[in-house]
Amino acid sequence: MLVSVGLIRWSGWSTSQISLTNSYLPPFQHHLYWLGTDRLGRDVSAMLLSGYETTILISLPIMLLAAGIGIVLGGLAGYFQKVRIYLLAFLLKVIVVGCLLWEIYITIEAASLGNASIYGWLFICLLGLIWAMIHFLQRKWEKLSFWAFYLPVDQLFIRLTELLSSVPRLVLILCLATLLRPSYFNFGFVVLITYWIPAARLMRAEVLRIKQQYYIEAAKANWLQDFYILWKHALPNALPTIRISFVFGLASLIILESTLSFLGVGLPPETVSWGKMIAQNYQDGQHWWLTFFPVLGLLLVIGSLHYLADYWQEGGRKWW
Amino acid sequence: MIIYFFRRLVLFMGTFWLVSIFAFLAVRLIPEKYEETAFYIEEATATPYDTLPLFYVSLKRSATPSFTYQSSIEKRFGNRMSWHYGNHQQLEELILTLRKLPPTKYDLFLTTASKEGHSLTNPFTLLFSDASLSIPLRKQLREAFYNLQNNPKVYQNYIPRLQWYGANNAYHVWLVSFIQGDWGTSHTNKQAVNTVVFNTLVRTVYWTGSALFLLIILSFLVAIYLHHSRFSQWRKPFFKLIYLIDTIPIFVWGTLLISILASVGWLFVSTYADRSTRLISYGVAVALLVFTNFPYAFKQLYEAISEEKKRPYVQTAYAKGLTEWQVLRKHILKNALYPSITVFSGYLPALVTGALIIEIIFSIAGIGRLLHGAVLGRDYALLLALILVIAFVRMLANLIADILYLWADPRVKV
Repeated sequence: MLVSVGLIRWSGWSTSQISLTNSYLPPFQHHLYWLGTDRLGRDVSAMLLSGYETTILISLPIMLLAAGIGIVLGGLAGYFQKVRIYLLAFLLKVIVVGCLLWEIYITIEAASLGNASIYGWLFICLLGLIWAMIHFLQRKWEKLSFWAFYLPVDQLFIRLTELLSSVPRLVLILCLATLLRPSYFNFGFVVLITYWIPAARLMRAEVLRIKQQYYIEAAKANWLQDFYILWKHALPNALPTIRISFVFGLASLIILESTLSFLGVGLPPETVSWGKMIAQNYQDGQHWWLTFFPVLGLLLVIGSLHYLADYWQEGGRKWW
Repeated sequence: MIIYFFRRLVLFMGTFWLVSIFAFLAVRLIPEKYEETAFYIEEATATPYDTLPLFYVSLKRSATPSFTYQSSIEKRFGNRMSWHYGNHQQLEELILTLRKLPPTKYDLFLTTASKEGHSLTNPFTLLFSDASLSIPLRKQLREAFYNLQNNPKVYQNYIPRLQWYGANNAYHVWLVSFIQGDWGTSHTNKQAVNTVVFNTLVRTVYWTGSALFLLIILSFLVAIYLHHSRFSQWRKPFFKLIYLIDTIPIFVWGTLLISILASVGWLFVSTYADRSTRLISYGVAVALLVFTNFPYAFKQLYEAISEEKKRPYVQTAYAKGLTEWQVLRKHILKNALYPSITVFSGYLPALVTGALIIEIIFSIAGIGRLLHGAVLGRDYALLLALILVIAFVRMLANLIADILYLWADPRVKV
């Protein structure tokens, strides 16, 4: 799959090359345009490859990032179900961290407006010092540690995922895509808001299962650090399940990307993509090759991803 | 029961309030960064609360004045001055003195003084030597400006200040008018938002509701029939078919269907069509929605019935001598109904998504198409109303599902 990504660059075909004398050439008739041409005489095969490149280059990194976020959050929620919190120190820290974030924002804004001064960095250092002070005082000074309670990290995680998955995904993405400028970065950001959830849920369930195993108990008996156990014992055992959800997520992300470009939302208007090719030509019954090949490509990619996921799910056996 | 209902209602209101805050702030805050369109959108989407502060509280730099600005250009000027000199007390005094100028003169001054890269002092020296102004005013201006210039406190920019505005803010004004029924006007079709939204909402609820009804009946029938041993050889091919339907995206099904129908000659001209053509169009849309959502619903129900089949009461029923058909219909189906309630209410988001794409492809004037239009036209008033309506319907469906579950299955405790 990855090998074919660079194909369009390497082959030197162009998607923007217009030859009006060759418009609406049917496929398999011309020695140069194998899959025919569109209204402006652009090569369909080149557009197909370029659309494939956009699909993969957008979906794969976003899905990798989403899976990463999901693994981290789900693993933490599953492993540390409740965290012991000292109210006073916690509140102080929250306020200090809030101020710190605000300070960083203001400093960046000042720098971008050309008004940078030493004060921003000074305040950031000061707040960092205060945070460190609270952190150490909390250990040294018992009186700051009163009012302890348990923060239900796991419950919070479940509520958050429920809230996010109750919103229709396409509606959420449509609305956010309006408010933001259409670009690859913003598209990734908007998609990430919902796509980390399946991986996180699965990771949480896996960690809950793995936590009951004897080897975790053995690791704890050996005084290994929690994060070391998560990294070395829980993660490798959870990966086979996660990769299946990853592939399913990738397929659904490809569908989402093509749907959004079909609707004309989200990606910058100059990108070539299969969804847009279908959207522009599906009412044109006469020139079937303009719709047929992108649809075929989409189905092949999604079908092969599903096949791979099923192959893994069935433990490497072919099931049909 | 009553206490539970009351608690759910309070939770419902609270969630809706939070959603309204998020939606309002997102719609008002983010578009400012989108400068290419902000220029022409600013005129079209002007609202009565544009000059008010955005929310009840705000976190500001201490260097900015504590009152709100009269216009966006004054805000730009104030920001520029505060970044340069800090010291909000002197800045407040300066701006209050500047407001005593004749309005045209003040506007002219602001246009030159608020531009980035231009000199800050030059517009002031021009004012000080302006013979058309009275001498005491010029003296006041000079004093205020030199007070600011001689006492710079740039560090105030880096100290946060929480400011409370009370009820006189944009969100509050908007919320009150929203509750009273005034949802603003949409700038793409120049109509009151609430009439547009309700007209389309009725249509969407009508056709997606009938699709949901059909979907439930169809998936129940197929799941029950496939569990009967007479149809056991059909299971494998049927599952492969389901898999195929599930793999292909909805919009591909939609485009396929519409090109087939176009080649047959049933083209849809839904807005000007007569009643029967419109009914055909709705019928095809409903069929497509049922078809594309069928795999998920069917799988869930099939699983639920398989779970029920393992229960001991099924064996008891067989032991009493009932036929397989009677057991399936009278015992298993009734018990499998309960989990199906949560299945269908949890499935609503996907149904909404499917409805959106189908409405766009078949040009049915429903909520989905309205949303798409609002997105493409950047119609923020309409978008805000649509977000809230969709969230409201969604939460209402959740609430109804929970109450139904409670009512249907007495074993569930509150």
